Amino acid sequence: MWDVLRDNNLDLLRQVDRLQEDLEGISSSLLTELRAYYEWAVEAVGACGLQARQNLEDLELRRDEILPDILSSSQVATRRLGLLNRRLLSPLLASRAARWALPRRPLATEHCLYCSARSTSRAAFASALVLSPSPLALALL
Amino acid sequence: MSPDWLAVQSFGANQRLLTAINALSIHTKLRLGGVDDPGRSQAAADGRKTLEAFLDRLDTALRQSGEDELGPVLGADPRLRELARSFVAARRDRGRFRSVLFRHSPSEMEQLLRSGKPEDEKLLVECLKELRALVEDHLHSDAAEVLGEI
Repeated sequence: MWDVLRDNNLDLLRQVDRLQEDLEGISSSLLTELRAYYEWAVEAVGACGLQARQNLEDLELRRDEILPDILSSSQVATRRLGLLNRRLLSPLLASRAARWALPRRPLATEHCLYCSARSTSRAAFASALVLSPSPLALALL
Repeated sequence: MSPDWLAVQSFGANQRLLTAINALSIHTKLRLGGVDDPGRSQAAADGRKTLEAFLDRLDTALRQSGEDELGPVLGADPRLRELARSFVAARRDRGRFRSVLFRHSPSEMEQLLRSGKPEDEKLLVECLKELRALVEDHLHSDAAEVLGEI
């Protein structure tokens, strides 16, 4: 379980890095009306990264009593990034797509596909475990 | 507000609540285990405030509607009312929910949050664990609506 959670949080960090790169990429061409929303999004994605780093630090402690807390915290960060990726970043990423006349498919979808394609089987299992309902995940502890 | 955004708002509120529970739970457990955790002191203090505010709202929802019936409460957040209903149901599940929070009341847990005594901190850890279980059960329907079935 320690290794599964570690892999999951490392995968989260990679997703955060890619989202941050993409957000930086649209910064200069952003519509003025979206600036405040953009800044909120940058902060929200950064918060997911901070949470994943904190989880990795907590995992390093190797204390059994906090494992359920780290699992829950990993689930929170995963769901939060999922919400950002699938729904809340779409207006920003779509604005770039519209400006550059790119296909309408949200770039966030590309992230998901990219991340899935490069996931190792253990990381995929980790994601499934962390996204699954807690009672099931806790039963596996 | 559309049901969709109500789900997003409720999802966000429950995520913040879980963040507060987890930070405070880890901080308390580490301190009880003799491990200094200064880097999380602020997050734990913020978590206490978030939890106090939540327990106040839950307590009010329970008292206003009558704990056994939980009928409509004018002006009450419908998702909070659903959570209050789950709370009442959980109270009857003594096998799974037996902490001070479920045996007594949200205000008893608030007292544990303010106490700081080691014996109370142990009881608080149990309350946090069970409250998290309740919120995660409740969150699942919002998560499915917001993120799609996983």
